[in-house]
Amino acid sequence: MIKVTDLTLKYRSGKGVFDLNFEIKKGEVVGYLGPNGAGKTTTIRALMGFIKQDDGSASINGLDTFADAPEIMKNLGYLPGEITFLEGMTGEEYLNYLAEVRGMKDLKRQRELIKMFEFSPKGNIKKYSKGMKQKLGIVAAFMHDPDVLILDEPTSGLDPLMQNRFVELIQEEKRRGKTILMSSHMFEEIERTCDHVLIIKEGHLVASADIETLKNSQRKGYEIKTKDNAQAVTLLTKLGFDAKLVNDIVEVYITGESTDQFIKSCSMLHIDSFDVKSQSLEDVFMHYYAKGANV
Amino acid sequence: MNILRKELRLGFKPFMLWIIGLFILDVAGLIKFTGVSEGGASMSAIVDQIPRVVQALIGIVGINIESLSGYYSILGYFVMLCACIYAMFLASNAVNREIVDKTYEFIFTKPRSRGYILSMKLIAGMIYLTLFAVLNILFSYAGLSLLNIKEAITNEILYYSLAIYLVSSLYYAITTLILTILNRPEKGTLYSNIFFFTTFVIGVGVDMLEKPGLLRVFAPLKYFTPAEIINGNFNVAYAMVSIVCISLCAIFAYQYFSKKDFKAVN
Repeated sequence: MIKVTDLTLKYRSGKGVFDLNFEIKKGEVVGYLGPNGAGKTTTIRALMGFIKQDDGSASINGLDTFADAPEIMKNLGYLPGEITFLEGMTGEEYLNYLAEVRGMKDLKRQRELIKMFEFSPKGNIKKYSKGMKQKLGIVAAFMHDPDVLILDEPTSGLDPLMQNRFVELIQEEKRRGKTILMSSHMFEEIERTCDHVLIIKEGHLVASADIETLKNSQRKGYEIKTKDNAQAVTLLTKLGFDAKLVNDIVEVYITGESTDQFIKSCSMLHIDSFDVKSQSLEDVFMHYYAKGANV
Repeated sequence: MNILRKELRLGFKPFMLWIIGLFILDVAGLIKFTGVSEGGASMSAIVDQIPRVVQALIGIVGINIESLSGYYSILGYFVMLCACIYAMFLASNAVNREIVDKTYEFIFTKPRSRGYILSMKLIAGMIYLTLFAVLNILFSYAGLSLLNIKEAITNEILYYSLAIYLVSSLYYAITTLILTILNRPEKGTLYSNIFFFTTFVIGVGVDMLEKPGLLRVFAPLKYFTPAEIINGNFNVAYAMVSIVCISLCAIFAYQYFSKKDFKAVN
């Protein structure tokens, strides 16, 4: 559905995205993560046809994202990272304007979304809070029931209840077979909604895997308590393990092949407690941010 | 069509402000003619003493200020300046508004081609420019009706309004092209102002020279001179030059706009 091949886009500053390759199949929900300035928004803008790539290609449903943008937009919903609305409109006028441009006659989905996010689109947009603007943007992106959705930090500004509603919306859209690319910093939301994750850093794709593989293929973490935690950290570090003291607990991360060596090393310590540390996607993510290793 | 409606709505307030200015210039300007004409030879003497370069700057070179048609041509010149500046403002809005105010992510994510969207915006601008020219005619007649003068300057009014329409449309088209080529929208106003100022200075140069020759091609403000209009001639050659330039600018503007990168101005 969304295919990116050797996509390269370089700004004058030297930043950009380089040789991106990924494919998002129909019905997949993919999380797109990366630190600030990594290239997420640049990728999204190339997919939206705002900027033309310097090399490579990007297509949605077989159509070129730059040359065939109007055709793609018929069936695509987009939520930008920074929402700026047209001046002098109420939320209702804004939604009606969008519906008119799209030739929408049936506004049932629009009403359902407004009800779901519990907000009233009356009143001048200028006076809306950040959260209300975000809700308006979400309704605008989803109301024409597109098959493809590209969402840039969709829950920014939403309260926890509405963030939950948003997750439910994504899960519902997923069940209906929609294809979604979602850029986010909210790891829990990515974990709950996405099948697959792409991680970008400094313009390069550093990881591309499904959620479970990503978590399982990475290092395992252990939490150990000993008689002398500081000494334990020193010893384990000398033996080549990634060990640190966190809240008076020794945290150690090892890869699968080091397990036997690690267990044998632990026998040198007087261990009071030994627990496996559950690894969240955030831990995986932070690892890639820190080292930029590839899968 | 609702993009066109939206553009017209957004442009209405600025249009009204410009029209108020046009009204004052035309009506109040014409009313002042009574005082100027009663000044008689002294007015001409005063004008003759003004250095030619200053005369060129204010558009009164070779003009008989005591005659109604001569006086009206001065007003016509200032109306033309206003129309051209307004046209550049309209072009800037058509090309750059969404980029400068960062709403391009909504307007250009709809199932409409860039060419269509640009067309609607440019049409909205042309509607306002057309209204400006039409209202210039109406306000001129309104001002004339307040004067107790039998002299008719119907041709001058119509020719000037047509000249204003053509020249302002030309500035509209050229500014549109400049802004579509530029990769830095925040510099748009600067470069279009430089362009206007350059052509204005060239126009002053044209007025300073006895035989400006080809230099006049680069001074759209001097395509239709008072002397020609007062003599009942509308310069068809420069009208064709205007139309050809407008067409070429439009063609290239569409091509550049279709390939333009939309990046938010920081």
